[in-house]
Amino acid sequence: MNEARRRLGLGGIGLCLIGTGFWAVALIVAPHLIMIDVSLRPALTLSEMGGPKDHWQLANYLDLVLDPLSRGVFFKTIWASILITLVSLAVCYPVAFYLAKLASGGALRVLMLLLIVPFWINEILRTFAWQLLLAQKGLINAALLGLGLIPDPIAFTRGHTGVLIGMTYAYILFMVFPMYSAMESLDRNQIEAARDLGASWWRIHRCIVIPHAKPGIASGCIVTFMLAAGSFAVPQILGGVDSLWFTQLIYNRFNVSDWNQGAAYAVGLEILCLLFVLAMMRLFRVGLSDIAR
Amino acid sequence: MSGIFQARRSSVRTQRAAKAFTRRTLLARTASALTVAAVGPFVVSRGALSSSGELIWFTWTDYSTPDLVAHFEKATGIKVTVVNFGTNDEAINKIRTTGGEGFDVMNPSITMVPNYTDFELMMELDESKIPNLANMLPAFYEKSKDLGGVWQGKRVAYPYDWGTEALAWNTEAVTLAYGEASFGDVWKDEYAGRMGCRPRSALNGVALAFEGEGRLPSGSLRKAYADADTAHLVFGETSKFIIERKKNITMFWANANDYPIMFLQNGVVIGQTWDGPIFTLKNEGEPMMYMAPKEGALTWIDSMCIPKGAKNVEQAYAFINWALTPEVGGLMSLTTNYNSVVRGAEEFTNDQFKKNFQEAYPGDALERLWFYPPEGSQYTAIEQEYADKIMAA
Repeated sequence: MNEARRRLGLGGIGLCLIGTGFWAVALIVAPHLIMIDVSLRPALTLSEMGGPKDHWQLANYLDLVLDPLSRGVFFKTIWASILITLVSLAVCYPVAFYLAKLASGGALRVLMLLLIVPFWINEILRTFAWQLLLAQKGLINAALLGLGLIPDPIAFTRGHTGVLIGMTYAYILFMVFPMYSAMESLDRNQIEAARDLGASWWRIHRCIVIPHAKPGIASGCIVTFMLAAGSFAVPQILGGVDSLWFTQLIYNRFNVSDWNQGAAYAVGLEILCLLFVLAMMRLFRVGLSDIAR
Repeated sequence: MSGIFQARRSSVRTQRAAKAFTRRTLLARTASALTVAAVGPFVVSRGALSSSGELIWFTWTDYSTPDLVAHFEKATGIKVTVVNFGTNDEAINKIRTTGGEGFDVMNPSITMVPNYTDFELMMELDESKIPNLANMLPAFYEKSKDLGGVWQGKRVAYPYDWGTEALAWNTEAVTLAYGEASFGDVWKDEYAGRMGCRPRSALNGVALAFEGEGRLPSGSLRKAYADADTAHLVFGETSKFIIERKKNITMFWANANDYPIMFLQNGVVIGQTWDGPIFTLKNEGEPMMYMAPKEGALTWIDSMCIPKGAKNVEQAYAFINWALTPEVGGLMSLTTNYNSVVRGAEEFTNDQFKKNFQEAYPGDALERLWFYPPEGSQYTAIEQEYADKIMAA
């Protein structure tokens, strides 16, 4: 506190507190309270508002639990988000390791730039680009057909493949960077010592790199999971006829002017995602402070 | 003397400022400038919008063509800002969120207008300010009253244009003839993996096909719009039919932007779609056709309304009057490929447009048009419930 006072002065501390307070109250707490209030009321017309029907009830939440359709879509979304997280992890782990421990100087800068540059383009545009790449007459199918590898075009965007590819790509930075910064602090001598003692590369990763990078892996996974479960644009654009995301169900509720049920669904998604993340953190013995590092 | 003194003082001040200007102050100032830029619009919008000579036009993505906007600006001297929506639901949610503020004139489907008036979001329109109403085809003027244009005896919406949802197909893969072609045809197994539709309107199309086949009593779909039990009965049947054939569907479309990717990129050869965007593809030389089925094309009328919170009301009336001239009706048709409700507008279209129209509505197709009834929020919710079932199946 004294250090902060010396560096910022009382005014500075006050500004920080006001800023943080405004952010926490106006942008997090208040919208949540409003959303919870809306979610507990039934959908009413203007004339019914404030009338006898306008009181708190649990119907909107019960619907989420009892309606097999919403429940099914909900668990499918959670499951698919886990899958996307695992695929992202598998794709990004080697990349992060290469960046942190193998690449040097110029190569590192070029690779970093290559990772970041696509993200200067809007996410929606990138997703539309994938739609063109993955279409039945798109570039990927044309290439595979031209090489004679497949007899008929693959319908990537009919099922979940398009969404899986699109999201893994969309959230790659959120997975790579936490892992990269965790691995960077690992002393390269440890890896070399293990190698000198005859450890296989798998054992080096299992016993040295992964335990050291665990907080980075955990925070990458948590962020990717939350982004995937809450994603709307990617499933809306790349999702096929067989892939309905829970966020789309929420959107549809708002579309039919039932903001109340939409709000209840949104609160439900938030709570269950939170519980899931907390459970995962306990399972892998990672604390909040590890992730914030 | 005093001039020199001032100059010296200011140079001292400049030097002091220069010394004080460190990297930290630069960062701090940039941050505050960014904050003002980000928050600014919320603070200034009220005042800025009320200045005269401006109009915010809230309309469908394919309605605000550059030619139309330029024509309006030239004809009236009013500067237009376009804001787009892709679906009726998106439009009503935006208006509900702002309480009807922020937009001056908009084009929701007339049958959706009751959803706005339920929340008192539309202004009553003053007929005396729209002399060009005399140009409107009387049938549309009359029909629009019962379809949502009049609320509690007050006029809240006038027709802007009309169009249909019917059969679109690729002529290289499919052949359809008027009088035989049905809304049921798109579900044939021979088109499996090559068809596209929209869940909510597919429920309607299949219902009309069922009425034609006698699987549902005649008039069931019309009744479903007014009666919840009938809606559950009708969509229970039609959703079952669609879910059994779900493997046939290649792609669901959500708005007009999806058609090029559906027909040109994803190998779809037949579908239930809107008319205008298919005509556009056809005019661009794609082997596409669009035609009403024997049950009658699903017909919508899009309207002109002024939301309750509109700031530029006089300009909005100027827009309505402008839109109701035959020349603009023709230009609208040419650039969007939808049909005008203005008498004599066809004289300002071209042969291509007229040919597309005749091919789309041959024989008695115009007499058989099936006009969407007004849609209450209860109906919309039931229709969406079954659409969700189709999507989740």
